[in-house]
Amino acid sequence: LRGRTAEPPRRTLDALRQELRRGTLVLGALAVLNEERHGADVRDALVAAGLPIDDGALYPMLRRLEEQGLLASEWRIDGSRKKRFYLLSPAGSAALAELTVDWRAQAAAVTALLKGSTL
Amino acid sequence: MTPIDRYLERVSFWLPARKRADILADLRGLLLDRIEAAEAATDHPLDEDEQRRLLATMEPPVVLAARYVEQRPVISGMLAFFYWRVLALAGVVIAGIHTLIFCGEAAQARSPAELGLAATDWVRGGGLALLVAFASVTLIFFLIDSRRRRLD
Repeated sequence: LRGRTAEPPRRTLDALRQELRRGTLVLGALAVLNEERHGADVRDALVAAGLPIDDGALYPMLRRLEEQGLLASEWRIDGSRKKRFYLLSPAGSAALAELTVDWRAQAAAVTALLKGSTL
Repeated sequence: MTPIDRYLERVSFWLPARKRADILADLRGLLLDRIEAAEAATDHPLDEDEQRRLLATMEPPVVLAARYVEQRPVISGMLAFFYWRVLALAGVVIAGIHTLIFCGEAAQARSPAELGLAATDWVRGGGLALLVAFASVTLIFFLIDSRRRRLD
């Protein structure tokens, strides 16, 4: 039943990676916004944690999370210019708590499955 | 007008008026962050050419704007294959029926004028039937998709 080649096609692998990352990035962004940060600061915190994200994807994601009521934002002067600062809203904190439980359960389940795999 | 203004003007064209000012303010912040980071790395203020080169590494304005304007598709990806298949089938059946009708009328035509009339009917009737089929199939799939979304 094993495939003919050991290497999965690059495009397939990239698509699977992207799918895997999508939910992880939202959870990561919510986690780092437990404290107030502006966009570049969120990106730096995610990069430092090993979750690199492109600005072109991060800023729309922050805006979407705000539109969903999970983040609150405020424009403030920081250094020489105005920046938009984001922070978890009460609904965002509740969502983060629930998603963290889900994440841990899923991670434990997948880790247990991977232990049984040949890798 | 700075390179940033020019880039934002191109993004602005694709944005909905309701959200435009807010999104552009966000993007201006993003671009200034990038320029500041580049200036910190090179230890000198970027001139216009350097700013232009930096902006050239950004996504095309339409792609960046599209990330902010996520529109729900009328028919979602999982149903799209079947939607196009039903649409193609309906198109073939309608075109076939109207062509048969045209052939029948053309065979009975006694003058070029009658043949022209039959051809006009073929184009008009077939076109209208295709339009109605397209609208009906799209509406039916839209309703199926909406129901699926509610159940998910």
